[in-house]
Amino acid sequence: MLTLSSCTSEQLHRALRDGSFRLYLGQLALKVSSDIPEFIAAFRQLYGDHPVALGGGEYDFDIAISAPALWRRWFRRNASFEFSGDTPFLPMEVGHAHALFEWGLNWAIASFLHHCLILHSAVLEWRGKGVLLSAVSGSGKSTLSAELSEQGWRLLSDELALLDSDLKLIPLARPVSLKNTSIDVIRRRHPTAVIGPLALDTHKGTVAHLKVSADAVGSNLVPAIPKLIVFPKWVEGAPLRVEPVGAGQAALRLIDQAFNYSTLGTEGFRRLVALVRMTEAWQIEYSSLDEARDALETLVAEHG
Amino acid sequence: MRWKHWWLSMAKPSPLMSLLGGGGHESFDPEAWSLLFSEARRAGLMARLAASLCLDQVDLPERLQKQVTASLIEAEAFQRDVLRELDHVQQALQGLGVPVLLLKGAAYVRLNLPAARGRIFSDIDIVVARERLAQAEASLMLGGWLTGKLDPYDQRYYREWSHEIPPMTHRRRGTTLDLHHALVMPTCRVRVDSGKMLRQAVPIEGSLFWWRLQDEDMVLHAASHLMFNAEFERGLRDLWDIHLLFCDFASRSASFPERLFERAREVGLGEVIREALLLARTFLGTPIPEDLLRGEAKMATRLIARAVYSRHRQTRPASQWLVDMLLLGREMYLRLPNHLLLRHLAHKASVSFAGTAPQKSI
Repeated sequence: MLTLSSCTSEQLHRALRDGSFRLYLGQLALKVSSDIPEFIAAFRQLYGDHPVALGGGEYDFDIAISAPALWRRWFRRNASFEFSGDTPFLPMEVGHAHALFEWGLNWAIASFLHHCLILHSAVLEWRGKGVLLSAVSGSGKSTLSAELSEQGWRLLSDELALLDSDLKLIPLARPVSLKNTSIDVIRRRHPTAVIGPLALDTHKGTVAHLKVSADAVGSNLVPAIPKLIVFPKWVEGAPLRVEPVGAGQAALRLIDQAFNYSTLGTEGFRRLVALVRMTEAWQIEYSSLDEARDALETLVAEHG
Repeated sequence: MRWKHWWLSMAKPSPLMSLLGGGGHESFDPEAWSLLFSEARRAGLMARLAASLCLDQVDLPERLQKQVTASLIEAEAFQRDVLRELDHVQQALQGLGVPVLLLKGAAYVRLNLPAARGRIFSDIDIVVARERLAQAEASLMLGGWLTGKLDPYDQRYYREWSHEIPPMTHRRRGTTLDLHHALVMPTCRVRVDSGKMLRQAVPIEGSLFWWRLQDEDMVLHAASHLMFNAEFERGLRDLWDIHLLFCDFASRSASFPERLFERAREVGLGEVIREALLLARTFLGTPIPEDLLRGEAKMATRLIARAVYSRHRQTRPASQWLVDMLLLGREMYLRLPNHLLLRHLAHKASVSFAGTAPQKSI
């Protein structure tokens, strides 16, 4: 299948303008439209390995990154996230256009894909075993996912765990969002990693996105079986601590981080209970990414 | 129906409008379906559409079927939430011992009408008699609903001129409740006897607390809401409601259409119901006896036809933004008599030069 990096710039610009561009993100098909050069450049860089189509076709989401008003194309340039032609958020300055696309896409997934139970959690796979990394914002979840994916783990998502009715984790490999100091951490540890443009002074500070491996993108249609739930927490200078978490406790913590648990009603409860019964749950506190990775690989080997 | 053809020839092909108009879906390829779903989302109708496709057992490609399933799950959750919220409202107002009337979406859900299917809405509308308004507001405040901070002008607009008090939001659940004492603005230029409609309301079967408008008045209220409105973001949904209400009531009693028009004349909505049903027939094929709709559509109705058409970027009529502006002017004109209108516009103009408050961000 055609990948984004194999399209010429001209083909890409035309398809993004005339509505015939499709991006395939695992099971999802997105119609993406844009005429904002900053967005298109970052998009090309970060989604290079993703399958695309230039001749239209069916889609799940209709997304455009576009100027909110005609004059905003030239003067005080802004970008809006349009979903089915609606603009659910305020426009942002044009340098934040790609971050806006990623945030908007997260919002769309969490608001519409109710055939899945959606948890705020990173999902990775190691030796064929699915691992959920569930944590509140600011506990280093994205940095840890980026590190693991650079070290050969398969990334399914850095932000959203999608659990379908067969209790499988639906992959959604796409750029990992890095914030503030974690951008430099990953850059230092992995000099060859592809990191997109910096979006400065967003409401989350400085944000940049890490391109995920072609392997992870290539496996985007292969679901993973959940085997382990981990609640990671980065604490500066802390020694490594690994502790088991009871199934009931794990379920309550996951509900806290779920986007559509109540929307799914009894089915949400059923799916969550099944999830904690088929997995083991652990929490780890760490300050060193190397130690955390070792600990996780041991956990998967012994308890996954 | 000359104007109908005039109108349709001006529109871009929209799979949503074609499906609603009874054009069938056999010719739709998966991409046309995708556009249709995108249009439905833009119109706030995805869940309603999903419910209707499910009812008709339409066979869809897998990707699209998943979207339908997801929307049905959302719609089901929404109905659960509405019914639970109604329980909370009932608890807060039960002690008052006055009839409390449910309007629009909440009424459709409580009555389990076809118009409730997949209908997603943002607030619950209730009515109490004007003399009991203050008590009802106080009881709701005790139950946790608060009117947000409004500037003195907006307070006055609601308290003196409007048919409702400012929207109340629950401090924990974040749900919104609109407490009314009439069905239309008392200052409205079209003289509507909404008091008569309220006085002839009936208790909801199986409930010792809730009341509802009688069938004819439910359709009339939905029609006046659409035709006096300036907000057409949800115009197509309102029109679809009218269609579903009409078809449901007409299927239960053959004389319903005649009674509806008679009642409309009685309360001053004769023109409004005719125009609203003209639109419903044009876009949704509502089966209305020909003799009730004789005559040409008014200019305003032709404008509204453009405003309730698809609002999606790919399929909306070119001049929709202009129509929206004209209809906004019309709504203000209908709502307020001249001296109040002048004051209102002067105030709004002066505020628009002051700074704006930030809106929501991600």
